[in-house]
Amino acid sequence: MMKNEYALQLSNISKKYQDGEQENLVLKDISLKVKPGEFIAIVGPSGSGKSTFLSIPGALLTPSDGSVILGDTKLSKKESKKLTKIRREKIGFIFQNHHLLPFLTAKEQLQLVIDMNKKSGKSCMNADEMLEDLGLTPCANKYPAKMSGGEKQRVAIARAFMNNPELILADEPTASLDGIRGRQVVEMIKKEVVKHNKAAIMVTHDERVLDLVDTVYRLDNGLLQRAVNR
Amino acid sequence: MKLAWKELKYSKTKYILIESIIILMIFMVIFLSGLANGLARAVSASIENADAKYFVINEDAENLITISGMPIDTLEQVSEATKGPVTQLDIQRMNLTTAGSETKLDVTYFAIDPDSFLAPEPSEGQMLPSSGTEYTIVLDDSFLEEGIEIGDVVVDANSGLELQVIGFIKDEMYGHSPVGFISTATYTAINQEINPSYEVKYHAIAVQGTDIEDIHIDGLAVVDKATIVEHLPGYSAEQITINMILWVLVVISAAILGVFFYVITIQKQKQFGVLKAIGMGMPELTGMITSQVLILSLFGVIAGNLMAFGMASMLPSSMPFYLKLPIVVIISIVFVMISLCTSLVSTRKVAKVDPIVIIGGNE
Repeated sequence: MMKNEYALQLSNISKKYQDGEQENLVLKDISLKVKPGEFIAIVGPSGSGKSTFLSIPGALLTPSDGSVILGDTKLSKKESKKLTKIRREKIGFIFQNHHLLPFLTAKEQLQLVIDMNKKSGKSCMNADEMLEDLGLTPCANKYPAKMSGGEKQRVAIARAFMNNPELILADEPTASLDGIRGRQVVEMIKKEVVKHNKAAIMVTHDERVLDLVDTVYRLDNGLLQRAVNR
Repeated sequence: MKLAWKELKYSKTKYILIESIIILMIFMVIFLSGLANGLARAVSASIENADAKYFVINEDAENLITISGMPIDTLEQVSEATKGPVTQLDIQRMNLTTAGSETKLDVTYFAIDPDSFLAPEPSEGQMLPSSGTEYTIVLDDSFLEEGIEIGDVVVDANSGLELQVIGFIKDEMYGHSPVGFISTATYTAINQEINPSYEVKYHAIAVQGTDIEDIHIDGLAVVDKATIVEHLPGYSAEQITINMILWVLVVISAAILGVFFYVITIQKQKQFGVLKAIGMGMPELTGMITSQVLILSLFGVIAGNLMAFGMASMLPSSMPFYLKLPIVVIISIVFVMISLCTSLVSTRKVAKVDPIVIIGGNE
């Protein structure tokens, strides 16, 4: 199969929730294409469906309508086992609250991703290089409880890149950090995205970091629109 | 497995607390099993130690050797009907006094032919002589705690016959009473002392071999050892009660481990959500949970056993405590199995965690 030009293609995605008697349409006919090396941001008020939106390319939710193509793989209507495999091999998540495992050191967090992908023989990044790249070498043998908030989030970034994914999904990566650290974290994501030529989508409402991304989209009332150039 | 171990290591305090409860529960269970067996042995040890597979007794003796009785020529009849060796056995409960003391000591005589296969191996002193004019006795070593030593003379309380203690033997009990081995000749002498018109007869004939098909004697039945033990007074009732307590405890302790683990699993739902979100499948998660329970229960079983065996080696010999390795192994395996089964409840909980809870930053 020919390598797809886009890392992610969302076509006419809709997502409905049953809310009591009513049907609640959270995402309305959304289409989006992201190329490798492209870093986009999705902004929008709370409750605008940002989380739902991120969960669809993240293979955590299947859309009610529309298709998701991740690299060369069409995603919609897969069984949960296959979705798990897609998350393992093709997606790197950066969560809002780092969500590192408390009982693993920074290096072990990364090693875990390598171990998980060992069976399928997928090539992964080198944990030491990744740590060095993000300035985390001194933290390699530290547990999350001993790291600062910024360090934890950087380890989380490293973890997201470890499986050499098609797509990086960042869910409010700056939410628990102050302005300076938040910006550093987004800069790190940007740097890695460019370096490894990955597509990345970041959901945020931190307007201060939007200058670091290539394109900004606004999600409002379930509709996705390209934000005007600023 | 790696992940499972790392987590146990990281949350040491939490898991050590759980582990110590498991160890204590296992210790309690194993200790109770030792007591149960000890009690059983206090009733049956001498029968179980006897190197006989079958006993010929009266048909209407309700499988009790002590109330059976047969003329002495039965020995020859039985001997002709089976290829292996056979020998007579009399069991009677009596009292002993020591020289210079009024205290009566409970004893059960096992009257045997000193040259037969029922003759036990003394742990101290010597075995009953084949013949001789002196009356001799080999006692269970619990009499050592009464201050009786080799060379002492004990007196049969009913007949006044003096018996010389020539040896001690370990772990010989019958019906909660310590056993004294005497020869059939001594036994006859005691009875003739009490009742001059006593006629020699045997309570039972012990059969060492298994070819019992040809033993057909009117009024007599061939009973295997297990049945004899089973029908010893008090044996079944005690065993059923204690074993019931024992197994209930095994199940409860394993269930407690399951409950603890379930509570911990609920606390860690978020972690499992993260693992699922980054693509860890249920087989790996199940493996992680199962191996943690396996590590905890295996370690608990080993440590609990060590404690119980250590304790056992320090108990006085009059304490009815006896650990049977097969039972201990079965209890340990059953405990681990039940623990693993209860961990399935935790696994089910994890299976229900939807990784989407991680997205959207809801803490």
